[in-house]
Amino acid sequence: MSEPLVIGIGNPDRGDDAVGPLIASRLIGCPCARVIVRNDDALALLEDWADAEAVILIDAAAANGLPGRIHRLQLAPQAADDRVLGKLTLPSTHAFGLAEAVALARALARLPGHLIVYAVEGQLFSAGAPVTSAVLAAVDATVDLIRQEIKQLSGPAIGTDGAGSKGVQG
Amino acid sequence: MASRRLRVDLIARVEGEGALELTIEAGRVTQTRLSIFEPPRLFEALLRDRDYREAPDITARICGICPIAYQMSAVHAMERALGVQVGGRLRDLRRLIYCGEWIESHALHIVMLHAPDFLGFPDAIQMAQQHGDMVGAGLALKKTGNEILRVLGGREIHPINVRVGGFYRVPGRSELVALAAELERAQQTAMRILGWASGFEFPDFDRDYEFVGLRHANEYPLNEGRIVSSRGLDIDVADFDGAFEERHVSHSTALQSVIRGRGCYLVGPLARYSLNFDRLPSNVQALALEAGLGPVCRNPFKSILVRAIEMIYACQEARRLIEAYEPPEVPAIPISVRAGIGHGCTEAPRGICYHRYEIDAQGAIRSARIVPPTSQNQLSIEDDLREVAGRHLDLPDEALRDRCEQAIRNHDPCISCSVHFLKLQVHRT
Repeated sequence: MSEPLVIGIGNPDRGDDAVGPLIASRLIGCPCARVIVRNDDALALLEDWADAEAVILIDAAAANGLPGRIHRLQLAPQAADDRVLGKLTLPSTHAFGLAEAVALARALARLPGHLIVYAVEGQLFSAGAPVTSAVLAAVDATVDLIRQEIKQLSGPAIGTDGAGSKGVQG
Repeated sequence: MASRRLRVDLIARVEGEGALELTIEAGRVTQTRLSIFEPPRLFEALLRDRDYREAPDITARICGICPIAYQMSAVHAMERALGVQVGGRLRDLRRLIYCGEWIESHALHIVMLHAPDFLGFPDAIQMAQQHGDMVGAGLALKKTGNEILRVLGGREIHPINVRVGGFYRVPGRSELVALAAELERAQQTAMRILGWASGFEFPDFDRDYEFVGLRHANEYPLNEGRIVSSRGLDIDVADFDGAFEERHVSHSTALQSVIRGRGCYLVGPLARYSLNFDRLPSNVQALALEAGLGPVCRNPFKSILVRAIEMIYACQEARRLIEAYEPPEVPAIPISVRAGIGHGCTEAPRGICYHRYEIDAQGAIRSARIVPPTSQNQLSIEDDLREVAGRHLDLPDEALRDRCEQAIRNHDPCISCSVHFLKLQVHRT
């Protein structure tokens, strides 16, 4: 399998939305993975992952009472219910966000075979605001989890479990 | 007869946030209000006291879809203020990067935003399940346009390589030649999209617009030309203020533009095409005629075909420019700073985009004025809506709402640029 593609998603100048790019920046140089950052055009994700067999997306999730909580979602190519995805950020002026990019990729059979989303629950998304301490505190743990994920994805055998979502202690 | 009020609170598949309110009294549409409620973005104030060299990068931030339009209008205005003119290969590179923006913007609107209206799908995702090949084709074209922006502009969104006088860095010939094969495929793909769209059903809906656009002596207009209209206007870009005025209206955070003494007008693909059909290469003209367009198109629903024609043209023009390309000796011509006033007007994908700057002897911007395409089209869109709603008063509110939203999307309005828009409300009494 080719090396996994890691995509950090978010706007570095909008408070906790910066957590995706921030975690991605910590993973640059990580062996066996290609790391990029996206902060606007969700449609471009389809191009980004066109040749990738395994993709890890890192994004901020909407505030839901537990800032810093880490969510892990594995999206199967044929699964139909991605309601959780709708709570992730990457907003678009054409109302075309991450959930829509995944739905379109699925309709076009362009979803990577392995698509894992790490989402860190945010608290504050104001323009110009710094990342909150609760979210910053979750960065190291998320980086470690993704490093393990990359190691497993880069190994000879990959689990073929279907779509799923689980909360991970942040 | 009962009154009827229809409101669309947030119009989908447009750039930005706005709303539409229709009032129907005694079986007649008495009011259409296109409300733009995105907060004003105050770019003109933001530019004040900044260095003239910052204008292209600051104004590029007005729009993620058409940043080149803002960069080009800004650099042309500044260059006029500074008494310099960029020609030759640097001018060609500017035309090439603008082709890239037209390709990515038109591909996005045709396939992702407009086509679902004609095929009865709520969005492009649903449409992709039956028309995946065409959605894929649109995405491929968008990618090609973005690639031109990346190579010439440094990155796809909000490029950073355009400067007053030229570019910060110019590409080597091999970098552009690598794009040529992709553009040849892109042109074929654009022709397939035109063929697909020409099979759509279009309502009989010709409107008596006053078209306004640029006209150049021998080119289909992108960066340069006089501002002309279908009713005889023919002015230099510097005379924009004498011919047009912007007005505040209470229901919109965007200014509305009118032609002084005459009223509303239309900018964008329909206007540009109808004013400049004779400037298209003969093979592109033939494709337009084959697709069912005449030399003038007054039916806004057919704007999808005109965008496809412009996409084909942009691919062909980009190929021509690349074929002739040799790197310029310098990436930018030297500038001597002086006080002055400059005007720039270029053809954004959605229509003419006008900038005016006054700079002082140190090059600081004393005042800035930016008139984007969508603010110029607001009144014509309201008139379209009055006509569309008037013809379909028998429809239930939901169907009428859908029809009105489509009429708005015909013009690919960029609300984020104009505030510098959409919800629909219909009031029936």
